[in-house]
Amino acid sequence: MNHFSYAELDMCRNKIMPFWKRFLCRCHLQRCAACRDLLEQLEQDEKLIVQIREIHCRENIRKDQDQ
Amino acid sequence: MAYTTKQSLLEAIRSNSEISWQEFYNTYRPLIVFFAKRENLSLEEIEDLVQTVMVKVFKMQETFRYDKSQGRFRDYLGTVIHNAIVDLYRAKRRSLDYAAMEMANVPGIDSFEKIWCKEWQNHVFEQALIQVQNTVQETTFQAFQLSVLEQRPVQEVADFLQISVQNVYEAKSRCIAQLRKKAKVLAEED
Repeated sequence: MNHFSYAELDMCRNKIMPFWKRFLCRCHLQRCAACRDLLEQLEQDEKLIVQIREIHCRENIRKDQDQ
Repeated sequence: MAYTTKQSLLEAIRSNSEISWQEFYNTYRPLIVFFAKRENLSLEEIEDLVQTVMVKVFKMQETFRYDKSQGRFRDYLGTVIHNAIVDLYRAKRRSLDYAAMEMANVPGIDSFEKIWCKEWQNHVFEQALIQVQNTVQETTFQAFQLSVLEQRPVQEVADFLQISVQNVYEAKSRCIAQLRKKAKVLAEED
C-alpha cells in the first residue's frame, strides 16, 4: 500500500489537492492506521504552530522595541 | 562559531572566550529581559539585571561543570534570575526608603517558577527555530516563514518564491519535523 506523505495529508486537509486525489486520500485514510496517525500528528503540529506564531510575533515586537 | 548544544556553549564559557560570552548574551538576554519587563523595571535596571545575571554565571564558571545529573541548567539560570530580581528590589528598598513597598511585591518563587517553565519552553522553540533556519535551505525556510509564521496564503507564497504549492507544503513539513527534533534535543539538554 502506498502511503501519503505529511505534506500530502496537509494538502488534503486544506483542500488544496485535486478532487480525485483528495478522495483517494480520504478513502486511504479509512483503512490505513499509519496515515491516520500521521494526520493526528499533523493536527498536533497545528497547536505547535500556534505556539510558534505567538513566539514569532513576540520576537518581532521585542525587536521593534529594541530599535 | 555557533554552539549547537548548551553543553558546548557552557564549556566554551568556562574557557572564557569572548565569543562564547557574546553567544551566551545573545541566547539568554531575551529571557532575562522578558522577566525584567514583567517587573516593570526601567531600561537601566534591565541592563543592570542582564549584567548581574551574567556576572553571577561568570562567577560560578570557575567551579561549575555542566552535569545533568546534578540538576538542570534551566533551573539554575531561573534561580539566578529570580534572585537577581529579588536583590534588585531589596536594593531599591534600601536606597529609596521604600517603606510602603512591601516585600509582598517581590515576585514569589512559586509564581516565578510557573512563568519560568512556560517561558523556558518558548525559549527552547525560539532557539530551535534559529537552528532550523541555519539547517534547511533558504527557500525552504522562507516558504515555512511566509506560510506558517506570517500566515500568507500558500498560493501566494508559491508564486512569490516561484515554487509549486506542493513544495510549500513539503517545506512546511520539513521545517516542522526539524523543529520538533531540535526542540526535543534542546529540551533534553536542560
